[in-house]
Amino acid sequence: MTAQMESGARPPGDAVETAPWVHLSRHGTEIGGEVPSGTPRGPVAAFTAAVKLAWEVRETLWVLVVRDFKSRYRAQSLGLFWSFAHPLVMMVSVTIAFRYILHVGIENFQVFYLVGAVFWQFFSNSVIATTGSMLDNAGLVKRTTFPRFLFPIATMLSHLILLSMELVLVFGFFFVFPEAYTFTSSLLAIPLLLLILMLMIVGVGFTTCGLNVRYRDIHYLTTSFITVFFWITPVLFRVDMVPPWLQPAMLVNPVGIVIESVRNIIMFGRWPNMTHVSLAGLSAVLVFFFGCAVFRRENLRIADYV
Amino acid sequence: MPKPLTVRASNLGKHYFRVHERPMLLREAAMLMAGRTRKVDDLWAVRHVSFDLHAGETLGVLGANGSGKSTLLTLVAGTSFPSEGTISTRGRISPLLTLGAGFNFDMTGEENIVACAGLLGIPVAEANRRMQQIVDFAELGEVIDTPIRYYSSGMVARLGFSIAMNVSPDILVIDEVLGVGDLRFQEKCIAAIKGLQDRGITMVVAAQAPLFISAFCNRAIWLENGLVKLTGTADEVADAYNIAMTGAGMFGEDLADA
Repeated sequence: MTAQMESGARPPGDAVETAPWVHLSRHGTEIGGEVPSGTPRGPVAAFTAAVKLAWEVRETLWVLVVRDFKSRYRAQSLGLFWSFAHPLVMMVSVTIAFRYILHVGIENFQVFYLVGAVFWQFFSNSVIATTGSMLDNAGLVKRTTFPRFLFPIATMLSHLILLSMELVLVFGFFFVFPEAYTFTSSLLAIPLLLLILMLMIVGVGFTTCGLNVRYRDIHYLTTSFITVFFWITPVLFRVDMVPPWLQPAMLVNPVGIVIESVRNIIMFGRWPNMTHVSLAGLSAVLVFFFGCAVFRRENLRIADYV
Repeated sequence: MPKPLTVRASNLGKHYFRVHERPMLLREAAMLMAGRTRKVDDLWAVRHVSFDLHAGETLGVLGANGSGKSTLLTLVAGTSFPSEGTISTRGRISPLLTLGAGFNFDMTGEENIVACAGLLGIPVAEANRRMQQIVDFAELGEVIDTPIRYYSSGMVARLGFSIAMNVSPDILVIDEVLGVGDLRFQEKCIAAIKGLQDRGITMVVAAQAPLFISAFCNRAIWLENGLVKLTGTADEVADAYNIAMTGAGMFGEDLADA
């Protein structure tokens, strides 16, 4: 047995000599010299270290993402079919309700709704799932030293895989309703908008999942918050249908700006309003760093409460 | 040549609030802000613990249930942060606090090996290279392609143990998980641990059985209510612990069995 393990294993003594010291204290983590200085890394250093760490473990992160994604479908016999069926069923029923019962005068309502709903679902499902990600991964959080901030990110990325599949569905409907689509070079703006949305999700997710470990009602609060958020996000309507006094509420909501812009790109081939997009980007970045700060603070005690 | 220092605990302490219901809810946070605090007890699960470990040394941690052994181990493993003092480590840590932490029961043994090894810091390619070794050690053979939901609990535990043994850690933290599998497998585990010791891996092991401690460890500490009651060579501490526990008429027979 011993011989077997020695083959293909490196001599641990050498590795230890070169490995940096890691000091943990109640102030956080400090990496470096032999003797702890007692002043752990500041927020900027911690952030760059986290980015470096995430890059180092990217393979494992990907394994976690795929695991999260698969585990959502593995126990079901129809598996991924459900993730396509849900937006389709919603599209049909919402279109019937809005077009034929409420007589909303939006052209190509089915595509209008589908584009909005797919992005909205990405946002809302990711936020709700990331909120619970620490508790869902309790075993890993308590028993491994894998960087914890990657659990919410892994959850978000696994929803991103689903979104990319749903986008195939969205573009596939071009063959059914060609009149609803206009493809121009503005499609190039979609990755940027997606990035804004992802920053927003991770920002909110860090905040809620960090706090949810100590205050379990955050989960319910988040769910209610998402419901309210849905109605200030133009999924079922266009921003220009909103009365002027309510318009500012729409502009401070990065998710709404992203959805509106993506819809204009896919359906009308229009470049997004860059003022609005930069506003959305700015608030998403702010939310993101706020989330990082909350998470960094909570991280010290997460294992005690999980 | 002196072996390099790998673990240094200086005045380690872990403090908990003993509340009567957890988790705390928002209402309580609000009460706290309003100055209406509920009575909470202070609890130092571990306090004033210091030790140095060099590569190749094994520290045994003895103590009754609730004496702070597991808390100390989570601090060394770095899964929880100390409330006081510093724990400094150097090199890759493989925490073996519960077997099969991070297993996903819907995924196959193979997929779990890759995921788990990754969580312990092994790149995917390296995990695949060691796959056969891990499977052989766990004696799983064909069933490695089956979701571990269908494994027996012994099989799951063996797989967990095998992964932890085969990720070539620098520091191994083991919390009373050695009663795995049948007697033959246990002997194999012991041989594997001895092998790791020979290769210069630092270990921190919590155990109930003084016999085990004296067989494995160079040094030991005995915790009582979170404080160090005795520290010294493994034999000294194990003997003293044995006498104290059996002398008090408690657990005597259990110890003999173990």
